Amino acid sequence: MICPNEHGPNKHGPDEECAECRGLAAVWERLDEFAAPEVSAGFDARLYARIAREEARRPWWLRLLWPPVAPLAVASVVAVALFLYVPGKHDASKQSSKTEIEQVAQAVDDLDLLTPIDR
Amino acid sequence: MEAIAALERDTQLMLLVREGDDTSFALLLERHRGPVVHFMYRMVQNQAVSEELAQEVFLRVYRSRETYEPTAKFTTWLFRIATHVALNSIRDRKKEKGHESLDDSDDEMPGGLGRQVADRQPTIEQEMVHEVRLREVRQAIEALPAKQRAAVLMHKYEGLDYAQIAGVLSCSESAIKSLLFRAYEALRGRLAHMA
Repeated sequence: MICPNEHGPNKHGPDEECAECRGLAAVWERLDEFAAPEVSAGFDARLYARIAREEARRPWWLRLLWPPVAPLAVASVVAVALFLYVPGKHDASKQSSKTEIEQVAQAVDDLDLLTPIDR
Repeated sequence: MEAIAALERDTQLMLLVREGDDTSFALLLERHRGPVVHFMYRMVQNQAVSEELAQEVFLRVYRSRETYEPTAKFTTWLFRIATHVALNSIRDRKKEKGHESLDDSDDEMPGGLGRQVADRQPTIEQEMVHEVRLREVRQAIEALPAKQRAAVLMHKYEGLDYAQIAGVLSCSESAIKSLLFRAYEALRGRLAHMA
């Protein structure tokens, strides 16, 4: 209860009452008479219909963004793609195959050079 | 997830709504439908309008789910939205109709209370006395400035404490105590003859 004497010059304890307290308690009691009616049965249905109408008005791409399943899925695909594609890896394999070809060619040339001596 | 678990139940539910969980929204609606509709009813004193406004509140909650941050207690946040919607509605109605007469809402007597009275089968005089007293309480509440009215309704009927009401109305706690005291004093003045 709101009592101006609670902390003021005529301060009283929590279990005590002053004239202000009694007056305010009477008002408090009288306010109890103002009951509110029950919420009507169709309240939730009407609310969800409004939500559905509002959702339907949203652009399709915004609906894809929420709930955040679609963005998370896209992010996961991108992450997996990035993981699989390591930029240096492809260059290295290309480089190694090129080196292998050069080595084989060199070996064949060396064999050609050696052939007359064997004969 | 641990951080979420430490928060109050309503805030946890709202964070789940933010993650796209519609069941949590249904639970929040279940828990707060009554208090919000009743608050609106006592603010505007018309059942159809109060339910329309309460729906607007929950619609705004749903719309805000993506950007929700638990900076205050959920109830404080919810009643901040409710008070904003109610005060806007009162302001708009005043603009539209000028000062509204309570006689216009005579057919909006609270149904629940009417039924309670009917169940006890009061005499015609008792019923008339009750209706007069009720009308005077309604008029006394309606005569309060809108901000005082909102504060009294949250304090008296919805059980919000000073800190929460201060959060809702963006005031200090001491300002709220002073506001409430003035409101209750005004009500006492208007209802004194009903003792």
